[in-house]
Amino acid sequence: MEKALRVENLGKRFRHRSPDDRKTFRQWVEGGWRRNRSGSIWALRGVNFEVARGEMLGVVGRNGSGKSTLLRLLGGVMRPDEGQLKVAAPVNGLLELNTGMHPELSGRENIIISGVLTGLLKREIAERVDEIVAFAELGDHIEDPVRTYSSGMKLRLGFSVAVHVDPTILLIDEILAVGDLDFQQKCLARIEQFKSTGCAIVLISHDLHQIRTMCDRALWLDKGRMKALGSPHDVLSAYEGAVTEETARRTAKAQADRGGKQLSAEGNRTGSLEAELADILLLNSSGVAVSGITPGEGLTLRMTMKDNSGSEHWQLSVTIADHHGVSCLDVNTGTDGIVLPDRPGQKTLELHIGRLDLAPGIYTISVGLWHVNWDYAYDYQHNARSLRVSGAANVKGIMSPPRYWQLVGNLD
Amino acid sequence: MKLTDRRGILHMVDVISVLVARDQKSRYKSTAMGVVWAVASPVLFLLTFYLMFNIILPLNIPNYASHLFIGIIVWSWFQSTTMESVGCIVGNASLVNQPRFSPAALPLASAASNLLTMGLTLPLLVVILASQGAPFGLPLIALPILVMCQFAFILAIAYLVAALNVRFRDLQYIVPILLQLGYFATPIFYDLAAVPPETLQFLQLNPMVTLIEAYRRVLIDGHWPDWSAIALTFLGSLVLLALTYRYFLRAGAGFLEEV
Repeated sequence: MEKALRVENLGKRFRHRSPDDRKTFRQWVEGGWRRNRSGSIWALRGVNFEVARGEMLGVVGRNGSGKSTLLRLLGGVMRPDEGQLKVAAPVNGLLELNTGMHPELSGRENIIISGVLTGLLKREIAERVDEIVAFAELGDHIEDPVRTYSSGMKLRLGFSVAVHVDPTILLIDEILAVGDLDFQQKCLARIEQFKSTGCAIVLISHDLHQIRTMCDRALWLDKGRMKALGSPHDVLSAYEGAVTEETARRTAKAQADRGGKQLSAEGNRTGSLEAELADILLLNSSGVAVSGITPGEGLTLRMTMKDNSGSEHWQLSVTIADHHGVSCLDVNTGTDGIVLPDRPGQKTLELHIGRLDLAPGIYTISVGLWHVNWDYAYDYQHNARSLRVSGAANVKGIMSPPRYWQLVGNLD
Repeated sequence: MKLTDRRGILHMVDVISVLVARDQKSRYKSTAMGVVWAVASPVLFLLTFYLMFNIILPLNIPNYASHLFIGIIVWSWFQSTTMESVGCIVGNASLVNQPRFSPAALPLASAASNLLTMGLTLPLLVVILASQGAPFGLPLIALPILVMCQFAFILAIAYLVAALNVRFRDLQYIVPILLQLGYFATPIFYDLAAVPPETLQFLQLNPMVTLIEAYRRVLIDGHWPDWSAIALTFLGSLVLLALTYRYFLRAGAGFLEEV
């Protein structure tokens, strides 16, 4: 297969600045001619891989593992300190949407701006404007200023421009999993189409499912080094195993810190406890704390978080399972595209479920407070609460939607 | 991006034109007065200074309106570009991070856009010059050379401050103060003839002084500029530009390493 991209022994070193490093002119003057005490760290080292035309490589790793550095080196916006990078064609990026767009200008004007700033000639983007407008499904809104757009419309506009560049080599940072499902499908189809026309793609994503289904190969980076390269199945299994291990390791540490109280890596509560779920409350549709509901009633989960130390950005997951452990509902703030404040702090987050048509029975609710990239859990409480759905046990299965039977026609 | 290939050059031209158009359109779409604002701002300065130094404290400078207006618009091209360029790398992180986009386009587009803004005041300048009986002679053909010379100088400074601000983030607070000082160290509302010779030597080290004087000689007096001074300024600006451009490219790549 023809190679589009080849990376040999790639390495990038960053100067590691100390906190008392002089970042301003004032500090520099006050500090005189003293030299900065700075060491350096390898953000990426010894990375080797090839991507063939029509092939898609998925890159996984935790925060700070060198994924973004790799993408910047491939994109040519950063120079390697070591090794070589060979590309057969200019590299395009689908990194940030709406690049260079101006809120006061119309969607149409912004298409031209964004197209040119991401690598097309004005003439080339002008030829594609109609196609892009159609793809974005913005209709007459295309003539309105972008500031009047909803975030979904902005996203559609940005994505439509980004997928009309006809790249030979494409870098993708987190295909955004927000926006409506139809549009997402359309974008994914477009990316598949790039692949089939011989485009080489490198995708960075925390959505392992996406990498598993879309990529031909996967690369796992850890602290700037290659941990594994191979089939998505093998690499991702190893990576997921490491995430579980990491949570277990941090649980053991947190337990030691707390004198072994309450937590256990094997039990129903695991996590580093850098932040924790202080309280989980179930409320019915009238806001009353309950332990059970009736089929079709709404349910609100009120989760109160507590910050201990060192927690960063976070995610919350909620799973409802039946007594066999079969998952009935599994949602999280990440895939629902919820923007959360930086640290869990003393925040209270409520999940409102409009109606829960579960069959009568006993269910368990598991709640997890995670590090933002699902690298490990801060506090995961398996079967944290039980939920009783009352009513006559007249159904089998897990659902009991509102229903009635009607006799139609004359059966005489 | 390499500038050696034909497509690269075409693309750079498109990038500049798109950035300039975005800047101009957004500037006039977000203000109620629209394009009038480009002219209104220098006119307000003109009226203030005219009132101050021709009526209240007369400096007795001949053709004072023309003298002032040339000083104001030539200086504001320099000032606006420098101010915009200081934060251009730090403020456009997503563009700097974009493959196939050269950050060097940002100061260049800013300089071009502000030149265009200066161009918008041209009709008014002609009116003011004509009302004061300016000769409009052959030396006017020297104007494009003066503009090119100033462009080179402005760009050199723009690359310098943009790159330095990556290293020293407080530069964006220092630059406005320096520009304020520069405003008074340049004969915008006063005349060099009133400056004592010892001070004059220092003032003339400033390329903006040479340039503003040359513009006035051409536009108000209808004489050719002082070619040796202009040649020296042009050459100096080009050398400075070559140096600061290289420094800018290095700092631009380093910016992404600031984690």
